[in-house]
Amino acid sequence: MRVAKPARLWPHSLIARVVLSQGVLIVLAAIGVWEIGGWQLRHAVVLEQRRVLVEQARQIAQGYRGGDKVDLPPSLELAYDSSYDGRAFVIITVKRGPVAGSRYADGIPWERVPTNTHATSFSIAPFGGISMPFTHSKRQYWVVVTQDESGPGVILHRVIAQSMHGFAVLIVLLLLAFGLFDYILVRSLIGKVAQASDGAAAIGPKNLAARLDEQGLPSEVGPLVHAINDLLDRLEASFTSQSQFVGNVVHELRTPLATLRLQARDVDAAPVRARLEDQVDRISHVITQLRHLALLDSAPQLGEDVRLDDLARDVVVELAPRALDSGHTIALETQTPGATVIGNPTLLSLALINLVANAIDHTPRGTAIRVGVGPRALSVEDDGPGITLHDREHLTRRYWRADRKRSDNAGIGLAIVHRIMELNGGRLEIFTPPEGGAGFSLIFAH
Amino acid sequence: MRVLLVEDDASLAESLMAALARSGIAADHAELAEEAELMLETAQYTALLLDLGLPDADGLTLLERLRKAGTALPVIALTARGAIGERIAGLDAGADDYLVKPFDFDELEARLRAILRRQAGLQSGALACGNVRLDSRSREMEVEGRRLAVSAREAAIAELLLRRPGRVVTRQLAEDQLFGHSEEFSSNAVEVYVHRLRKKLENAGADVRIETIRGVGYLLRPVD
Repeated sequence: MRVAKPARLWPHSLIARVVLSQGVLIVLAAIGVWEIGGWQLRHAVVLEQRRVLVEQARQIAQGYRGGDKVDLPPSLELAYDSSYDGRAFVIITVKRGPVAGSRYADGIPWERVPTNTHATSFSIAPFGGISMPFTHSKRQYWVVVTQDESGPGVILHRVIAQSMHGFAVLIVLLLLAFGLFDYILVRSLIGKVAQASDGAAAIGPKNLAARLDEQGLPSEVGPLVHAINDLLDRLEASFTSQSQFVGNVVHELRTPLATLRLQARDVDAAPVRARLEDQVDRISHVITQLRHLALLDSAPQLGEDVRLDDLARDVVVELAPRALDSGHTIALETQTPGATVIGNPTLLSLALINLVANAIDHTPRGTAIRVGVGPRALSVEDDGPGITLHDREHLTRRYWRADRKRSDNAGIGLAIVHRIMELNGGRLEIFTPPEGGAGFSLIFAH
Repeated sequence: MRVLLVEDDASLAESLMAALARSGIAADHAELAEEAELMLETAQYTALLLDLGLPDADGLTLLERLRKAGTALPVIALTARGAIGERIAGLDAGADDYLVKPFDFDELEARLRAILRRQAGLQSGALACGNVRLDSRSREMEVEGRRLAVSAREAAIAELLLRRPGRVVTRQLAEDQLFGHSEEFSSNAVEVYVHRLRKKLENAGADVRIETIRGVGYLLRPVD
């Protein structure tokens, strides 16, 4: 039973992985660029504002003439003459508080402003500014310059924010474009790998000589495909030698078996002699089937036009004496004279011979065997005892026998038929004829 | 009669020679094709039992050489190769019959005797199976030594069947032999003649019977 796998967050597909990781990366990069870029821009603005304020504070400190008198450069004088933007300055001492200031300096919360030995930025809502120490007539003063942070002058912040939005869209689009590009690239590379996989899937015992195309593969996958081709080389060599080996073994076994069969004649006890001869015949039959099985996997699938009526007639001519000797009757019924299929005539004959031989060997005396020729089909029917449904399921499995005590082997025979039809692209069907008994059909695809 | 056995496997050759001797068939043994050719030149044999898997020259090659030289010597091929295509190759090369190893010696003996009878029949024109005899020249038929009256076409069918006892004679072959190419005949003509001949043989007490393989042809075999 198959156990359902739990849903996986991390997909198996390489493309899915790339897309997923690219997606996550794009989101992270967009957020990162937005945050860092925004922070840097804001930081730059703050630094610039501070520089401007420090510069103004320095000019104010330079213009301080003692008391509440301050000489400002004309540009500053104009700027500090209005309340625009919360611009104001005040000069304070620690003890006496404000000593001089601009027109709108009253709102400055000077009491809370830091008084350090160096210029210090502060932010006391809604004001932001700097306080910078200076000495005048050997006295310590602080000049405090402010700006309303909520004022229209800080519009710059919003401009930055706005442009950052546009920037963010651009970044996301750019990253998406990269992602898409990666996807296309990976897909085309994977496509080559998929081609190689298809090639590998198409290689079977029949075309072991085929190799995968190593051209145009990414260098990471190239070695794998090369290794597969090497493996195929070794496999082919071993397969061919195995097939030849089986052929040779069968060939070599036949002569000693012939000797054994002859020597069995010297045994005087008739029952023993009969048993010996039966055993030799059985071994001979098995090794013949073995040879056929080995032959099947290495035989080229010659695409010849095969006339089904001629093929069936030749098979019946060959097997009719055997059928009559074992008390059967045999007949050929050709419904479609001249019907042809494409296949290897030797293998197709072998398939039909196996079916007819099975009918002869597995039905009692008096059974009528009918070989039928239809369009793209051959059939062998008998009116014998038939096949149980249970047996039918096992029938085409290699080495299976309906009656395990029986000294024949329909199992191998049907497995061979099954394999031949598979190689031909057709199929073997088992059916029960209307009059009962057993029926086998060879159905051809072309 | 004298038979030449060409077989490279010593044990099989020994057993076969012994079995042939016991059946009263005189035989010589050659291990190699080369040796066999020499023996065929120097002695007169009635049949050749030829193993197709010889070490020096393939038995098939030897057979082809013999046939090219015009030898009519009957040959039974003994082969360890059972594939259908290979058997047919053996027959094409000129073997009169073939047996796939391991074979039944009785079968070998029967085929050998059949070939020898055929040889003898070719010379005398006499064909026989069971108690049925046919003189293929005079077309006179006998059952159990008694004369059986048959028509020329019935005799022709009997000849076809008697030349291949135990094997199928296709209806196609029978039609070709009985009727010329231009001759008109009904589709069941052969069936009619066979039926008549079968009845005559039955009534005369023949111990062989003409079996019909429906859709294929006919076969002559001993009555069970």
